[in-house]
Amino acid sequence: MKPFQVALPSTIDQASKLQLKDASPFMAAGTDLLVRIKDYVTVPDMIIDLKRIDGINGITSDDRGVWLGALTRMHDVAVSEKIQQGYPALAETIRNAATPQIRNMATIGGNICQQPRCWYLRHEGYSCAKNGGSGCWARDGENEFHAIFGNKVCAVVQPSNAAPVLVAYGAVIEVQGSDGKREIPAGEFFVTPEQDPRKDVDLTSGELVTRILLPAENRTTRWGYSEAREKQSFDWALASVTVLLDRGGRAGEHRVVLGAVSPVPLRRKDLEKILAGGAVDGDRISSLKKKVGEGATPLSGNGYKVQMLQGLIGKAVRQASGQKEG
Amino acid sequence: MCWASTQATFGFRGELSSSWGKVNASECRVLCEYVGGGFGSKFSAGREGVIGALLAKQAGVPVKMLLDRSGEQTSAGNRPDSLQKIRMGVNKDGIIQAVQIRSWGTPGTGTGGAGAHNDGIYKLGEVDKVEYGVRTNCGGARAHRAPGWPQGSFALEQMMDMAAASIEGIDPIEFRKKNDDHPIRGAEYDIARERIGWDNDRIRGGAGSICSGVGMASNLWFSAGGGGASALVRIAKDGAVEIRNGAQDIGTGTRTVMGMVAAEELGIPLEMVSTRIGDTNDPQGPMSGGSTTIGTLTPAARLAAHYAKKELLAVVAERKGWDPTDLDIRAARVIKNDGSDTGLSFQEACALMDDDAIEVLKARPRRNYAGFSDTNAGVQAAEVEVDMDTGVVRVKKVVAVADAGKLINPLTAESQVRGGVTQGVSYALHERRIMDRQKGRMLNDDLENYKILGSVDCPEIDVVLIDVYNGKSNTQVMGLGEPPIVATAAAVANAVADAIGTRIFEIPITPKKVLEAIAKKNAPAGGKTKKGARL
Repeated sequence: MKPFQVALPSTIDQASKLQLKDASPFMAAGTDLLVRIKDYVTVPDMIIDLKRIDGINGITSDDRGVWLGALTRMHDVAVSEKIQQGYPALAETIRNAATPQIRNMATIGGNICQQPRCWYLRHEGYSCAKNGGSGCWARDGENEFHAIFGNKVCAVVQPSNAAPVLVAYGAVIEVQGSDGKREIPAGEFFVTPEQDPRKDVDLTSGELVTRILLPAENRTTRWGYSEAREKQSFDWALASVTVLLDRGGRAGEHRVVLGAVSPVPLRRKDLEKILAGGAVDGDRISSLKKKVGEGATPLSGNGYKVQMLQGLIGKAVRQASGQKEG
Repeated sequence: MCWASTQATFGFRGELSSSWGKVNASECRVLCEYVGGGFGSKFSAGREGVIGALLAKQAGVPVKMLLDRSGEQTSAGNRPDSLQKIRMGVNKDGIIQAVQIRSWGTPGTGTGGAGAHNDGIYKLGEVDKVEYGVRTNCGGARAHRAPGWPQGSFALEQMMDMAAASIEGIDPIEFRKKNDDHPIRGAEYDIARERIGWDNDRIRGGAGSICSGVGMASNLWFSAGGGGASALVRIAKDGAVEIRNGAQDIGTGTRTVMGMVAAEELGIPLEMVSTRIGDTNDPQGPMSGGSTTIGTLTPAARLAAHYAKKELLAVVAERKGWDPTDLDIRAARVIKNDGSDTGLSFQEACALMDDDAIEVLKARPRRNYAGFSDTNAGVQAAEVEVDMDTGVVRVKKVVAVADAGKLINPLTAESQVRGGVTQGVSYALHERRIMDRQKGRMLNDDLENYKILGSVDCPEIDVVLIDVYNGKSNTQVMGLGEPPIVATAAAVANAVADAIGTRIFEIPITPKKVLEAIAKKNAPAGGKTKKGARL
């Protein structure tokens, strides 16, 4: 690890100006950044530690909905009554993420801004479209954990388990820089490689995530979340499916978002349409299973993710509609 | 002076004084108070160990050498890969007639250490085995707990199940019993069968969305130990007792067990004995390899304690005018052969010494025991649950029936079995190196993508220890470090096959492979079925 300096700004404006000056990375809890620094994947001269900034930590609510401060620990989100009652799929996915140690440390803001876990991207011996070079090593290389959708330019998968769930709930990401605040719908916050391979999220230099809004009108009682991974402790999803039925209590307004299968959380309107067609019975689940792989362009080693999504969508839809596993 | 985390203090010294290291052995002292886990990889000083010492010698200052995770995985060697093909001929009574084996292993650019032990355990009839070392530029072979055995077992035990399935009316356990003449294992099969619920009804063979299955595998080991160890027992005039040996404790409890043997022989409680290990200035001890440390060390410890006690009792007899052959020590009291107390405590006896201490050094003779070497048996059974929708395998339970001669310390023995099973499940489900086909570099030289079993994934481990007296030495003990990892991955693979109704011939058994195997099984049959494919 190369030694670096730590800046401890106490306001967003200070933090923003520091980054504008020399492009130093922001650090929330450091569960991603510090590992990258130790592995020489990111070699900064200075990091900007956000922990002394007031007002972006903790869970509050107003008539717009529930606000998660960017520095709120993952654990605190998972056990929050406001989240468990209004947005249970979010509590569920975070409850099972990583390890207790990481959940107690990592923040929700850092979680959605973390760098993808691609082993080429995180290896000091490779350069690609995402980190300043060109091309994608995974496409012709080792791609078992990589994207099966939208993988032409870069085959990373969005690593946050919370991200697809936030998209499903129609969350709003509040960001702030020295020029002021912006609100970005979660569905547009994550940037595809086609849009800009260098970027993971829609933040410009000097901007940081300050809060995440879970809109009051999207509180949903019928939900399903299914995920598969190799290990139950400390591992990343191979694929996940989030299903909200009658979102916000509005009949026929469904959401289906796939996770860990494309560079951004993948909302599937075609599947939502199938769900809107009528009762969730065996036939409808079969149609969903048939359709879920449509548009996939699997690489040499990740075709199994289509089969896995077929299994997961069945589970998530059955859970959302209150049916027994079977 | 070299502080090393090593499985072989004396071996480490040997490497430093080799033609490369060129340090005089008598000027070199290797210390290893605690190893912190070895599992084979610390059997040798390695290039890194010798380089560290040479740097210190040349620079004339202390040097600390530490490999990080990436360095460990990319330049210190790995458990070698193995590719095996086995054909087995069985007669209609279920007796194995012959096996033909071809296997390939990867010693990197080295020459050895990549073989697979796939021709043992059972009576296999005629064996035709050819083994190849395949040179690769992917790093060398390094010993890993029972080198070559988990690999060989994974192939052989699946072959055993497939052979059993080809004969009507024989279940896999009965088939194994028919072809196994180890007297201890014969009993162990039945224990494992009962405790894993082998005969329970379950949804298996891919018949439901969650399927369950059981599988069995055996192990064999040779850990009675040998020569090359001396122990020094020192009884001081003030009653302090110390036993010393320069070998290390790889984690099997060398320190505790050496103390227990000396205490029992001396007739005093363990708390009165202090143990010193891990220092090449002390008497020679074995390398911790082949699970032989305790089998090698404890006979020397017992011998030294025996003669030290004799010397002490001779002092007592002389001072008191008693017959030395009529004396013994029990519960830290000097007693007579009829059990009566002499009125002397151990400490009072020690105080009768003229000298400061009695010191006795004894070696374990290389060949003093008839039928010197015996084998550990062992059987493991696994129960798994497979989610047919996602391919995720959960190992629910592993029954590990293990034996290691006379068990000196059941707690440390059980701990070895638990560790072996845990590592074995990790090997079965997770562990692999991912090598980039384009640049040949290892992509997962970290603990994020080189996955190991986590606490939530750990199965219930039901350890059954069988106490037998086949150690063939004055302590009857055998080692138990390596045997418990041999059978685990094979038992898991057989259980997965039972659960999903098709076999996976490659580890780790990941959701990807399970889903692919299920898809292949469900695909409409095309072309003719290949039966008994030729090698």
